[in-house]
Amino acid sequence: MHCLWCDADMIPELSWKTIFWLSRPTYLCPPCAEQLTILKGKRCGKCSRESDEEVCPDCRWWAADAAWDDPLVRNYAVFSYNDAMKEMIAKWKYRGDYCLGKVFEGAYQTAFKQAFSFLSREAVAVPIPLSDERMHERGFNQAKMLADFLPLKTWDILTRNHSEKQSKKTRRQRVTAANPFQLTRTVKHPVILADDIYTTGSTLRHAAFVLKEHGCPAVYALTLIRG
Amino acid sequence: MKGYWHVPALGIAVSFLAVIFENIWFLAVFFLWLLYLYYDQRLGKIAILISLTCSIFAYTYIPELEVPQEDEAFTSHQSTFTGQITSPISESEARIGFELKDEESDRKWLIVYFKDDQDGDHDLKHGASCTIYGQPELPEEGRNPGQFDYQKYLLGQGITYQITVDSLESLDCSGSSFLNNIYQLRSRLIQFVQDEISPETAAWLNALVLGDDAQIDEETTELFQRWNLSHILAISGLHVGLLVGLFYFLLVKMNILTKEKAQWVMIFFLPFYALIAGGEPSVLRASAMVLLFMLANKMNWKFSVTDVLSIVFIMLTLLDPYMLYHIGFQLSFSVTLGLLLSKNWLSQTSISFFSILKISFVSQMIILPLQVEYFYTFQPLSILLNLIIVPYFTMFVIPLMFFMLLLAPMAGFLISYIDRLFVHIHEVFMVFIQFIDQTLYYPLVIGSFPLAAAIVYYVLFLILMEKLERKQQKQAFKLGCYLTALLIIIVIKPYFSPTGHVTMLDIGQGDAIVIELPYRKGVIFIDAGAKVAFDSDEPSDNIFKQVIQPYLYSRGISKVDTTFISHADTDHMGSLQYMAESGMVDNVVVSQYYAFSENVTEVLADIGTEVIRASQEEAVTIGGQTFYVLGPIRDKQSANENSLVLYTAIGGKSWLFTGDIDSDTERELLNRYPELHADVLKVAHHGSKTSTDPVFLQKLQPIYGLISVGENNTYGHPHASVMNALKEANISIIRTDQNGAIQYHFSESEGTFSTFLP
Repeated sequence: MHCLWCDADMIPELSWKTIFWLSRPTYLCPPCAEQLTILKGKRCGKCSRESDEEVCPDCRWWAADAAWDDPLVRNYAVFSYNDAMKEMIAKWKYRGDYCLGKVFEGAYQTAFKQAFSFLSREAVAVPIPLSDERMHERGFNQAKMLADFLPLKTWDILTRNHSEKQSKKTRRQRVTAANPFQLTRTVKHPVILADDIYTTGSTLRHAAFVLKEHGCPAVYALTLIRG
Repeated sequence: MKGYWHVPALGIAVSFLAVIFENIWFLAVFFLWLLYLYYDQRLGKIAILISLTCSIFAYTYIPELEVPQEDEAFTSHQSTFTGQITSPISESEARIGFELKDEESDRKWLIVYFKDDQDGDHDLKHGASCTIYGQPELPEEGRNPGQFDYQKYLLGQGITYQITVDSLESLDCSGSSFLNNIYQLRSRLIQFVQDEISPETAAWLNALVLGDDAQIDEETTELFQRWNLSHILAISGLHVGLLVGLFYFLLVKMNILTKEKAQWVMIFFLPFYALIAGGEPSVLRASAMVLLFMLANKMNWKFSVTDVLSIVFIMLTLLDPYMLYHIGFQLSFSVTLGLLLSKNWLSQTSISFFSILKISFVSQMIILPLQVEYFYTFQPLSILLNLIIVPYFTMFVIPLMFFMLLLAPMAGFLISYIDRLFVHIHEVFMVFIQFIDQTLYYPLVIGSFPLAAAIVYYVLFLILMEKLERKQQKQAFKLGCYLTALLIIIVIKPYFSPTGHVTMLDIGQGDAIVIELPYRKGVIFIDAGAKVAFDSDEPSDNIFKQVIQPYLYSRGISKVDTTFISHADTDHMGSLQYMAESGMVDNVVVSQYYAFSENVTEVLADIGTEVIRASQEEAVTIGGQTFYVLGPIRDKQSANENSLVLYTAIGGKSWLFTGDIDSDTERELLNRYPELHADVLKVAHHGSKTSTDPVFLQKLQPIYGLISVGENNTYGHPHASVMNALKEANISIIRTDQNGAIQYHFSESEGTFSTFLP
């Protein structure tokens, strides 16, 4: 097995711990894995931003906006956004290294177990979709890949109008933009939205809004990164 | 597959267990494990497939050791065999032996020739094609529980028959193989060392560098075995590692070769050294591993050490599946695996004392069940003794021996100096170990390690090591306690067993009967015979070492409560002094008229063994079991006729032990005890015609007659007339010469006879 990031040859170390319960194959070599930081300390209970407060100012602002009636119960994020992560995401998402996504599988699953074990097995994972154009450009949806890591059914039931990339917009533009999502079928179970990054939270809230509107009882989100 | 080669290797090991225990469940568990690994995405498809193939193939490939039915047509006469010599020629002062692969049947024979004084030199070479005229026979089988079984041992090497050759002329061989040159170089080196260096040093040099421990005296070998130190005498990773390091250092530091070239030299030298060092499994393992390391290094391959170990394991078992049966192979691989797995745990300490302690602990614990199964005993203190011995040998003796062999051809004067120095130091060292042996040798005589207990042991040990690795000391301590408890249960199990045993050991022409009472309330001997040594009139310790001690140890017995000795003939008392010397004998019961030899008196007095003189009519009770002394009634001025006659009731039957009394004494016994009756009679004097009168049988009315008598003995025992008398009286006869050891397994009121040989 070679490290998916630096291509170093990786050989699992055998010891008393692992001779019978072989450790799961890892996709990153230990030095590369060390460069990613898993969010550990105190965080906002709502959006996972590192914060000493229960709810960060950002989320208080969302909650205060009566027009929204914040449709998202909670977002849980796995990693913080650092340079190494930035590069990895770029290679994975924009330069089409589909396999590199496997690097996140273990941590994404563990985070799910940690944060959402209270959910029933009925819950559904719903990936944030790409617009058809974007899909054509990239060849795969990174959010769908993440959703498939979860031990839940994945329902790819959202569609998206084509617009400019979120990352090219300002915060104001994102928050005030029209809702780009439509629903192809209703869902009566709790939903976990899967996406790669939570930056302002508007994408997830747009999606959550559409779901709630059509009768979904509760919408959570699990993102790889809290930007 | 990298990092996972241990899985197929474990598959082969599991198949081996399935074969030897004839239990397919081992494989089933292995398959379930693979299934789990697959579904939990811990192991890829290719690794699973390779592991499955390896285990299933091994299951069909590993030979079962089945004792063949003797083919009478084959063994009844001498025949001619043609084939090729496939082993080095092993030669001692008394015999020459080698393996021959039969051309026609493809089977392997062991060819044995017992030397004659008039023999000239032979011309036997590895790889030679031979025509041999000799007598095929089944190798000697073990005749007693616990005894070494030569037949099984040879079967473990794929040899069913041995062929004894009368004279060197019956061996017609020509040609040789390339390997022969190496084997001959080896013998020449061994000879050279013996010629050039003092015998004390030569013995160690040959053992530690050339893998020939024949010159190390038996006492030292046994001492090392008692203290689980034999691994030092077997050339293994320690030695090979040192050798490679030394050579490399010399070649590079003395500017003889570049590093690059020095590595290549070592790569080509290692297989050569493996053969020079005798080619035992531990040498092969170590050399192959070091070789693979160096090759991988050259090729810039990354690898894990456990993979190298596993691949060597797989290759060696494919090459020769019989190797799996080799004790050295099993121990060598187990210990190496244990140490490799402990790498993390070992690196948690930086103090070398603790590292060595940990190494010693892991190596001893991982082979404990094997150690007990093969040698019956375990010496817990050996973990500590290893702390002193291993550094002494690795840092001092082994490097010195390699140096000496290197220097011997060029610098003789220097050698004699180093030689003398070594002899002095080593003597002090050996005295020290002998001192420890005499003062601290308290082995746990465990006897046997049942399979179920071994499985529990290894599960607990695995968890213990895992906890230690995770630094969960409390949990580890708990597991250590469980392990200790398990060992204690195994040791005290006999004290809870309601079954007792009477065992008439087959010691050839002579008596040795062991009575083990239920709940281990007592262990009693009636006679402990020996053979007379070839070169003197003294009893030899062979019977004690080969039959009596192994039997007792295999039963987990280290102490005999009472030893009755019927009379003062070697075939009834010869082993007493050896039993006493090893501290087994608590007290000895003899008749009023028994005359001890000076030698034995001295030994017994030295050790402080109590001697009880029992007279007729007396009763001796041990652990609730009462023996009535019925004879001798009066002094008959002859050892045989003065035999102690014992009567007792065991397991619902009455028993009469008669020693070597003759018909006259039998009659006197009947006169004195007209009502005497016994269900089981130990037939007097090995079935001599001077004893066992028909009238005696008629009165006594025994159901069973036990005869302890040597196979093909020169006295013609048991005599035909005695056999007739016994048959006419309708007595079931059980003989040690035909059946090996005879055992009676009993509970309170009943029991059954069984024999060791079918």
